Amino acid sequence: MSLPIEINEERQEPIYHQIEEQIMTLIVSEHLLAETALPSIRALAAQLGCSVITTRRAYQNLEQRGYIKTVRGKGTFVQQIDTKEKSTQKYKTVHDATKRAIHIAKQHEYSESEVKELFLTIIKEEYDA
Amino acid sequence: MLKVRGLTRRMGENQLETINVDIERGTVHAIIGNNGAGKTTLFEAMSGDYPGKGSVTINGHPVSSVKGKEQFSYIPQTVTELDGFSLRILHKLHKTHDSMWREDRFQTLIKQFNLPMNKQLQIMSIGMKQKSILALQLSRDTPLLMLDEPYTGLDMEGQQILDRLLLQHMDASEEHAIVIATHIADEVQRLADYISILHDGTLSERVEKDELQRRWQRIWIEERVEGINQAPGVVSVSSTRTQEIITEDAEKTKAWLSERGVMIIKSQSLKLHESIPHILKTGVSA
Repeated sequence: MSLPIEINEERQEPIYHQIEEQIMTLIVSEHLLAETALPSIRALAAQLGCSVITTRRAYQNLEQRGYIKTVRGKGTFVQQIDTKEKSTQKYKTVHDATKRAIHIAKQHEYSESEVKELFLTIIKEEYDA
Repeated sequence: MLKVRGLTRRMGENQLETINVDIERGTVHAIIGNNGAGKTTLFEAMSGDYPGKGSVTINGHPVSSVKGKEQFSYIPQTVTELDGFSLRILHKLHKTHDSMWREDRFQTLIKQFNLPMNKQLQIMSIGMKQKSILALQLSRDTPLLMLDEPYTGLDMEGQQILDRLLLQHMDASEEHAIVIATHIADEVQRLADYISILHDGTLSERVEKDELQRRWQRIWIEERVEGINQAPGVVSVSSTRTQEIITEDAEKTKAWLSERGVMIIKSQSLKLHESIPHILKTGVSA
């Protein structure tokens, strides 16, 4: 099994962090359900073209944060996440993405009202469809 | 698991100069170098086939000892000793004399690679001969694989099968490891955890693959900056409308640029097929 994640060479954050965040998003959005087996660190490294040192670190961090669990000799599995934690993480993911969008708008010297107008247009497009 | 200490060997024009290297269990270590850099000379010495001066041990056993030979399987770059034999004979030989032999694996590999049992190796195509050697060596259940350009001559299906076999080898046990010689960046990208560079007969300290991608970056800046060619890390600068910088130490270069208030338009990590040729020219800087 391969995971629908990718490494973005233009993002400045470390690769293990990119992997960690994307797996977390898959778990929180329930694309990966509890008890689902994850690929081995070696298989994931081969898929992404990175080293096992990086994938191991991503898995260790996710395990520490309670998202996954490694059973010796069996593999790595998605943990049950409680609903409150899920909504907190969902909020954080959407919040961060929105913040990034606004940051880009500021780089292009959009004013506050221009950004607001743009957001309202997009909201209309997306939710009315 | 594999410890090489002070290995020195002269082979034609190639001189290996006191090579030291450790291959750790659980890792895939790529030895990269241009054609003629001495990779094969090194692998021949590491495998014990043509020992030089110095010591090579695997899990504490000398590489040429019986115990040592039980610890690894070896895919040399060229095999001429086996040319006069067919797989049927070589199979029988391993099956009767090789304590590491796994018959079930061999039967699977013969089917996967679609190999003829009765043809002599010397009248096989290069790819088919390579598949035969792979089938024989990968049927041995050993913790270390020593692979000297193992993808040579394989068709795409063969390459995929080998990818899968190497992955299986590493997933089978935490005690397993691979050391692979290659000059192909894509193989390094797919397989390696650590990289050492063979250059002028000396082997560099290993670097973690992802560390290379963190350090080697392409940075675009808007204006021309005085002294950019001498800035820390900078390897090359080319200017069209924007300036394009290749750096081997992105962190330092970016700090230098930011001290001068230069706006970075964009930066991205180099893929190994771009960074490795630079590294092979100059060696790795610490």
